[in-house]
Amino acid sequence: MDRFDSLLAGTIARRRLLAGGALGIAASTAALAQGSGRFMRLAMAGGMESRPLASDLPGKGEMIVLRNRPPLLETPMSVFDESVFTPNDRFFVRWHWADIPLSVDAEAFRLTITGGKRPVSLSLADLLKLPRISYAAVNQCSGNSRGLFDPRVPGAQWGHGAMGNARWEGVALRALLDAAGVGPGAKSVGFGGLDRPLTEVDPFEKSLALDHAMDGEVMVAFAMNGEQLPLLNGFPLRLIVPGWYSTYWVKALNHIDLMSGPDENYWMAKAYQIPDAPGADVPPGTSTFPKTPISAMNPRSWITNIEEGSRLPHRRHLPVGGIAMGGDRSVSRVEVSGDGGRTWRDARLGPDEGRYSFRRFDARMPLDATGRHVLMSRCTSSDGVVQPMKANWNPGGYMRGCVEALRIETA
Amino acid sequence: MRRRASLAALGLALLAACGPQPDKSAKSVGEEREPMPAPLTAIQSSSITLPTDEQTFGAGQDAALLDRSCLACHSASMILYQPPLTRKQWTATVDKMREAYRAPIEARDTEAIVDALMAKAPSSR
Ligand code: HEC
Repeated sequence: MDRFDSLLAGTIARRRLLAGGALGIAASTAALAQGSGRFMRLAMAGGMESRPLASDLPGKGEMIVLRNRPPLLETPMSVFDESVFTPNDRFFVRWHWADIPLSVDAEAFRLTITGGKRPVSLSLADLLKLPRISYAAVNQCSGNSRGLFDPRVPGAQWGHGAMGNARWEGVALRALLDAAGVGPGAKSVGFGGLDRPLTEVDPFEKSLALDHAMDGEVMVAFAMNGEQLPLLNGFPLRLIVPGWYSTYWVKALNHIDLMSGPDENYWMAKAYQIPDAPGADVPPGTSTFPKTPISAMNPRSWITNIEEGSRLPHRRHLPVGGIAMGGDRSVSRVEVSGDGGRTWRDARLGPDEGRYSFRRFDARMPLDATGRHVLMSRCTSSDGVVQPMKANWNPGGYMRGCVEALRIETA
Repeated sequence: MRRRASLAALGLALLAACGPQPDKSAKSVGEEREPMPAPLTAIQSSSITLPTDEQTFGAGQDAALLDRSCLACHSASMILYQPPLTRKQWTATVDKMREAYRAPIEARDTEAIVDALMAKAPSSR
């Protein structure tokens, strides 16, 4: 029929092959049933939407399945109520192209560094012998909470669960770059992983300015919460860029390149672009504005002990608790409101697990009357940035950071 | 040989490695910090099998066109879980799939594909 037919047949066969089954495309039902047959309702702009839950993703407990191939798995909010650390088996998953590493030989794997004064190739055993760093850091998708954008925008329709906090352990990137020898012409550092596109386009690769890469904090991690990384979260090595969005945290990292020119790769130059405006905020519907690559995160907070739309027995003092993050700073204050943001009171902060970690907050909210209440939390970071009441908007659905409202009813 | 040399350089470079310290200014009340996990000592090979993905757009010509055009790289849910998109937004999406990601579809088929999306996927006029 046309020249694409064979390519198409080839790519489908290939994705189906990657799917681990020789399935034809002939399965005839459009039913969204996959996984457990259980569903979760997520609050999005325009109302609640239903998404399947599944526990059959390898290495994962119950997750919200936005997409099976390549996996987009969201963490249910209740998980964040249990600990400021997100368990590895509940940590969100996001891949771009379907050819993801499903099997990695720990002995054969090498991390290579090119573009320095000497080429470097390290085995995992080599890396384990090097001096280590370790810290807690929040990993959040650039498009976390995209489903709340109003008007809605295309892209993965995440609720708030495209994020997680883990204790990462590994080797400082600076040490690896020093070993490779940074030449005078080096401007930026590129990162690539084992995942591959299915067509002849740029692979998913990201880069950081040299100064940032050399800050001593950016890490090549081999452990997450004390264990090797799950394959779906980037085994065996993942770049950790604390305070910055997950798009830079390259998974299954196997190649680092010192670069002397600007990075023209699609995923740096074209994708993950935000308006070059405060809060990445432009008038809804706008698409022509100066753009810049997304970078540092902003402060956010969520009430996690109560679900949206709950009906609760009335209590004079309702326990309200959740998690906050300062973005690229620490959390210095969290306030809560029971009247939709008219009055605020300070919440008590939980233990400090470090600048880049989630931080627990708890408060007792006085509620005078029964009926409908709008609960809110508001984080202030250590550099004085306060979550705004007004939601930002941009066509990519990036960097949501406003105060979130939780509607409940008490009787 | 080469790798050994670079490992030695690494050892020297890493004398003062340390992570960010907890912020002392913000006072924490109540519970203790979580215990530190033990350092990782070994890394084992790993492999997984993903569950199958049989989802399609269902029966009929529109569905068949979307099955052919849109399932090569990602699941149907990528499309079926979009918010209601306008014809303009679906057209922009199909163009992006073809131009940026080299989806194996012809420009001249865009209109038919967008018609099928307006019928089978979340859409608004
Ligand atoms: C050649 C591979 C390929 C084909 C074929 C393909 N897509 Fe995509 N699609 C992608 C990639 C890559 C992304 C971006 C990465 C991601 O979101 O995981 C994407 C993302 C999307 C998104 C999210 C919004 C956005 O702009 O990123 C939508 C919606 C979408 N595709 C719809 C479609 C539709 C409709 C078709 C059929 C006309 C289609 N895709 C065919 C590769 C493809």
